[in-house]
Amino acid sequence: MKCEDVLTVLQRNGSASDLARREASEHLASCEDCRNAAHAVAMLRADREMPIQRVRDGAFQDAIRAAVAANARVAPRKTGFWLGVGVGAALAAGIAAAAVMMLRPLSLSPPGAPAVTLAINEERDVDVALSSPEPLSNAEIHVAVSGDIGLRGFAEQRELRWRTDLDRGVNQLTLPIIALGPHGGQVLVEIQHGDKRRAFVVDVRTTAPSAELPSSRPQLVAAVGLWHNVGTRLRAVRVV
Amino acid sequence: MLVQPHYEVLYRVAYRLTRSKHDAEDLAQEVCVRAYPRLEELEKLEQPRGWLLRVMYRLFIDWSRRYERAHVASMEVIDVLNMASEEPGPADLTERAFDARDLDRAWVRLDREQRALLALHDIEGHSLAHINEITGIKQGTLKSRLHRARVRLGNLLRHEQASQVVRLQQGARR
Repeated sequence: MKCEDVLTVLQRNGSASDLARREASEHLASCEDCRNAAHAVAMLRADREMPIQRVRDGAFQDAIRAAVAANARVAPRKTGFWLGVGVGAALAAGIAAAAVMMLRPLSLSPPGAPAVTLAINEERDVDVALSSPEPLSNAEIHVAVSGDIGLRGFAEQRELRWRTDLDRGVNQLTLPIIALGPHGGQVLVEIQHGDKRRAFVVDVRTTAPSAELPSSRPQLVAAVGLWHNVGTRLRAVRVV
Repeated sequence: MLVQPHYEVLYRVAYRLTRSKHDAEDLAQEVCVRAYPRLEELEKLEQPRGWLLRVMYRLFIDWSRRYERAHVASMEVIDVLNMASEEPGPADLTERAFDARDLDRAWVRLDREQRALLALHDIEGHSLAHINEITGIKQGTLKSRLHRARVRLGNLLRHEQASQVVRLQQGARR
């Protein structure tokens, strides 16, 4: 009997023949290597019964945050909108949750549209993750706001266009939204590359001002897949 | 939603591989980083866990030297604290602590593939067929490598235990 078969035979309770078990036992008695192997297995089996240190609360969320950061592009701040890896800890829970939920396709138009709720006059960085299966050079980004919302830092400007390169994987777009009135509004994000175009809408709802609402933490409201092979697949997620 | 149900398993396997909570978290996190741009691919799989474990195995094998650091000093304390929660008697607790410490010391002297095979087969209980899927190593080769890993670990453990006896005897003489 070969050394590497000895423990297998001895561990097969009932399914190995008596002859095989006797051979294995005799081999074990005479082979120091196999006794060492058996000792190791016994120690590992005992170790298996030991409790391991539990996974830390929040470890998965940290892992997703790291995954998003690692796969986000470091982009030039051409417009002040693109943020790269350096977005840092402030992204926190919103981005983690959305990154996971990215796998669930939802309709883009209401009522399935991604949405964020702001108090009147509240400013909030709203993150959108754009996932592309391939690098897209010189893609045109078009952002337009409508209704009672605005883009903080852009005064009366309701529409922005710029060109940038999108990396393969997740590209993050941060929109500094401000709620200007009680009726809410919508943000349109369009991405054009060559003859391909994708667009989606983020609903912005407003509530009465509240001291309890977070004022500055970014919230990822949408994660969108771009230009998949079939050419039409588009995804958005809503994060509550 | 795809990775989350498997995260605890990833962490547990990573813990078995590294025998360190911190390294296990790092390793499991790195798997998420690698998986993230390939979620589309992962979504199509019937067994995403196997895919994730394959990624973890490759990462562990290529893991940088910084993860080779010994955890012996801190693990002696941690393991004793962990075992205390199971409420064994003092003698049992001490014996387990010594066993765990010996295993920690021997573990870091195995090469990474040996650690992976022992962790997956003898601790986690994966079959050779499943380990073949994870590692890409043929079952016949796995069988002989697993045996060599066990022999080496057994040798290292006996050496650790013999050293412990010598240390105890020297302590008693003082």
